[in-house]
Amino acid sequence: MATRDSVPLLQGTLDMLILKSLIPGARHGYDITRWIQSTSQDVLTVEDGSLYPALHRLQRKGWISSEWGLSDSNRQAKFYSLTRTGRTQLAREVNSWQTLVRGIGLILNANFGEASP
Amino acid sequence: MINEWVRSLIDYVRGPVTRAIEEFDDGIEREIAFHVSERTDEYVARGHSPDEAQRLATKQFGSRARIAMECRAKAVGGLIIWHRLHLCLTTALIVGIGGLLFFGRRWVNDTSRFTSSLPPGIASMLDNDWTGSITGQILDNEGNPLEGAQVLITVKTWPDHTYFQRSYSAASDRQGRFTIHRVYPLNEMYEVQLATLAIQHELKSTYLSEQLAPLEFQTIVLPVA
Repeated sequence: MATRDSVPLLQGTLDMLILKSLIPGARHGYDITRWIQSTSQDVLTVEDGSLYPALHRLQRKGWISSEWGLSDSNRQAKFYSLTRTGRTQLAREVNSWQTLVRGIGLILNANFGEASP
Repeated sequence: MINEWVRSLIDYVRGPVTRAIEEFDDGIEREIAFHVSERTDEYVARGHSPDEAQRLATKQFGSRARIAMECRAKAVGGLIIWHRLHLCLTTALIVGIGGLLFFGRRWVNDTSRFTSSLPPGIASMLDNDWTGSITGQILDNEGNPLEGAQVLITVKTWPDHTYFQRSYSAASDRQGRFTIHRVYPLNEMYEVQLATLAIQHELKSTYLSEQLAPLEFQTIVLPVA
């Protein structure tokens, strides 16, 4: 559940987070939301309603695959796994994200006192 | 048997995409139900009553129908159009090949196409029954057969008031005989010029005018030159 300190996901980052969550192995949708929330220490939350369209979009792109199985609670659940192309895509997105963060970091840390005109 | 075929055809036209959508809708419903159940368990674990937990989980998830529709659009959207396009192209291909075979056979079999562009005289000349044969024997003055004598035949006809001429040649055999098949028309007036030549013999030319019937056996005597 979202806390007061949580922030909405930046557009385009959900795909990357989903792909990242599947690195250790297959997960169902609920587990993915829980993993993102707990790993980000409740800073990031994924709305339940936005997760599933994203999962199906990623599956159609071939970045993840799915199969039905039994959850820990002994219920039928759909488990998603990372495909080889999904792994490549994740590496690409992580690289773009780090470049973006570095660029934004440089801007935010700019010292205006020493800035040249 | 035919019913089965028709059913298979309808099934194909309905399409694997339609079936896939039905299966997909069923799958997403189960997937959402699982998610809401897990979230309900989470709220129950936090101390909510089962009913309250169910209400909160359902509310948190949002509109199931809208999300299911979004998922369907992401998963199979556009496939129906491709399936319909595939059906249209397949139908067009079958119709095209069928038409090509049907009209192509008629076009090949339509021999009048070849003769209709010919001049009227040639066309009607070709329509005639050109199966008339000419046979004969070449002898010397003493009645001995002349082997290796050359025979030149020129056949003239006037189909549709035009003039048409064909020439043939042959050599006599050991008995002095010669035969040339398919030389003149049997249903058209014709004239034949028959020229015969042998070594050390005179050239002999015979003209057979206004013939309508098959030619009789020709006996040609060549005097010594």
